[in-house]
Amino acid sequence: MSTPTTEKSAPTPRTRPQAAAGSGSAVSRMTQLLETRAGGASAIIELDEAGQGGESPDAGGSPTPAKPRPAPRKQQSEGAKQQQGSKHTSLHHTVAGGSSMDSGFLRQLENSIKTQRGPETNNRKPQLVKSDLNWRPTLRCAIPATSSATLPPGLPGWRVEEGGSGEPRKFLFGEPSMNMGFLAQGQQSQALLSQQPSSSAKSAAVIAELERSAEPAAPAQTPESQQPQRPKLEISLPVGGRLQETRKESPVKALRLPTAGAGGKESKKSSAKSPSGKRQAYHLVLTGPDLLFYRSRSDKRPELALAVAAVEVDPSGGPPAPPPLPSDDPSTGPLRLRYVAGGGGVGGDSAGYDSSSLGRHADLYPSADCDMLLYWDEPGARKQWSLALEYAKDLATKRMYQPSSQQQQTPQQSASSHSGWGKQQQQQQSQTPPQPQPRDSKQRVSIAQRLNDFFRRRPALDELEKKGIVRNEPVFGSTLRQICAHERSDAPRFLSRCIEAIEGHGLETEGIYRLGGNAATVQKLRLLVDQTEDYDLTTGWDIFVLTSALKTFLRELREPLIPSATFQLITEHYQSSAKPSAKRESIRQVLRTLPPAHYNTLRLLFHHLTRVVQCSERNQMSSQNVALMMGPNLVWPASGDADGGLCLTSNLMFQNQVVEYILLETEFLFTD
Amino acid sequence: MSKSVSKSVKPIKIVVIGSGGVGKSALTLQFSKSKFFLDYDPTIEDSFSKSCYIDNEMARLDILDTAGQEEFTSMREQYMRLGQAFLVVFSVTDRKGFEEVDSLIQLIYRVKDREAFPIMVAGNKIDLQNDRCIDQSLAQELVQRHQEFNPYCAYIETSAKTRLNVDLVFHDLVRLLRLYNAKGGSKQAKKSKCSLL
Repeated sequence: MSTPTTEKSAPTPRTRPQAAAGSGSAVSRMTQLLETRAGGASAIIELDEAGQGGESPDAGGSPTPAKPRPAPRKQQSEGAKQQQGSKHTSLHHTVAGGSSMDSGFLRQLENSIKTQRGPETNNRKPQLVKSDLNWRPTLRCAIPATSSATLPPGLPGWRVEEGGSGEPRKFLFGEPSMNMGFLAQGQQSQALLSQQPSSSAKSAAVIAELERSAEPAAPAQTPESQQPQRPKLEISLPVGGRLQETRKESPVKALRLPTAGAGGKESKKSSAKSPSGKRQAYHLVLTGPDLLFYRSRSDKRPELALAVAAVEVDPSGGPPAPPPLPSDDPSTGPLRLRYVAGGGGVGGDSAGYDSSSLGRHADLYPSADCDMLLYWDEPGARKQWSLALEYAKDLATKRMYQPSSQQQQTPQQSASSHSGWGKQQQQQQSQTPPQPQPRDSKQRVSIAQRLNDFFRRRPALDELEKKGIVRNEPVFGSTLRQICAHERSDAPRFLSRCIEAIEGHGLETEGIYRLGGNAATVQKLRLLVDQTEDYDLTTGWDIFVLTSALKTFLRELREPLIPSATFQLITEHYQSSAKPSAKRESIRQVLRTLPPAHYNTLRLLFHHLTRVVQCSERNQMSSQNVALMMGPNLVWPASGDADGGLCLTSNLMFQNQVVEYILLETEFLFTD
Repeated sequence: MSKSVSKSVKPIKIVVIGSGGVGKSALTLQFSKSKFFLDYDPTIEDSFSKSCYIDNEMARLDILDTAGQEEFTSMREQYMRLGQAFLVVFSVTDRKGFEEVDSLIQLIYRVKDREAFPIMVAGNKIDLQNDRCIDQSLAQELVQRHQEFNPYCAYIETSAKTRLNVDLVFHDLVRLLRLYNAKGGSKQAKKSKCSLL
């Protein structure tokens, strides 16, 4: 609350009972705003906090692992005010009006994950209620608090500070920024919020900018001169009203300080340089839980990576640093980072993030503690980065209160920095009974982080293939050679069984091979065939499903039944002006050069298709029709063959003529 | 005179899609050539054009008749990108064709990157009442679901064999397109992008 806002406290009493928890906070202001406006929030999503796991980690720190109250939604929204005043503190996570789609979608996603997690959440799906033209969904989390006056200080996502009025003030961290959000905005927005609660257009924009201030000192006492620059921070994605990932990049000069007692590569490197050594230019990228140092912007691989959770930021620049600091003006000096080796962050239990979160870059994490000084050219960058790092760290660790040596600053010192928050909270904590944190921090990792984590850790497909974890399906999507070698048969057993079943149904069915079967049933059949060796296709399967499955099988082979090179040859012979008998003979010779698995399969198939064509009177499938239907399943251009994709239609017409020719000449072509 | 008029009118690209063997070509041929062809040739891709007056306004229709079989789906997105209005055909005697309607419509939205687009859904082959397995109400329901966000979507039952509603289905589609264009549909806000991660 850096702002010396005098009007700051003014709006508060208007709508909100004195006792309300976050009287000074941005959240509460938003709450007020939404409530004072006639229609209130247009869409209200209620989530009791027990089900939310990742979504509203706010709940995690609540004093009791409160059971979800299946309170009727309506009642709650009506009585929201009173509840806030008395029993409940509602956090309104406001999502920007423009982004209703996104947020809805995200919410759905979270929900679906949530519902998988436990049955208890099933009946409490958030409801979207459209009640207002001004379509802005609000996420309301009812958090039962034991003490009516304050939120439990340990609530993750909250910073509790002392406000000017002597009441604790709260800052919602990771506040609902919107779509492209942005965080860290000064007081102006707050003033706007409170002054113009009715202009929805304006406030929508304003809400998007979240107030966040650096000074823990009471605003009333803050001199005007200390008004901070409002650092902006890029926030990529809010999920469930929380920021999930921060991303920021800029060039930076870094200096590694030698650390006493640190062994290994890192210290060697740094000691090789003189203490006052050169500042190395890096491209610094903060992405989610990782701080990456690239030699140059275009580098693919960072030279060094630090887990943000394990980084301590010393905004004062670190006095013992070799280049003596202008300590009187900390905002221009370098930013000092201390990396605690071992990953886990302070206390070692960062929520879900450790040094392995970067997956394949795990080797980049220094194995020993190290200190770094970061220099920026632009004056504002330092502040922004310290903010960004703070955020990223908080996001990664999901802990608000982290006892660390750096937080032994006096409030004055920390007035211009963010690291003083912990101290403030400590004081706060002494005023209110310390709240046990019932949940394991791991449980509080938000969905987005889980996903992020998952994707980062997921090995690449080709790696899995190399390791043999991912293999071809035994029948579908394999190669004929593999299938035949595995089954020790001339032609895939599936094909012969399928043909047998199709012929059992009768080839007189109209539109055989033309009409498709139900796709889901085809997939069922495919699974059956892939998973069991001994299956029976003759009963219980629709003929169209069988023909579709046969076509799918051919189409999904790794290489086409008639390889494109062979087909090219056949085409040439087909086009040649040789005598029909000579033409036939040469094509026959070409076919004989096919690998035995392909040749036998082709023979089996074409004999079957000939029988289909013989019934063309009744099934309406003439040789052209069958060729047209089978053509794309037998031949397709090799991948990377640009022509094949472009003039598909003319290609097809021609290809079908050739296939038809083979079909009509099957008797001759496939006799030994 | 009329020829010069038709030349000056920009052709409307109509794409006929649907599952295999539901009568897309029969419907198109019946409309453009006023004949019911009994041959049973699967289509790869055919195009026809026809000019007619719809609501006293000249319209030149370029109708693209496409293949329904899944073997040919690789071409789908390509022609969908070109189409200005879509006729989604299914056969009331074929459950599978009906099941595909929804995914086809979704594909249109996706390819067009729009939430609303002129789409006619035609239940074909209603002359085969005995084999009917898709009720009118079932199809209506499907279309109504789409109408909630796409007002330019309508359902009609046709028979290419008896020429029932054949003209109507194409004319209505043109009307939908005109309505869509008049409402500035082409300038409509694009579907908001997914911003997951």
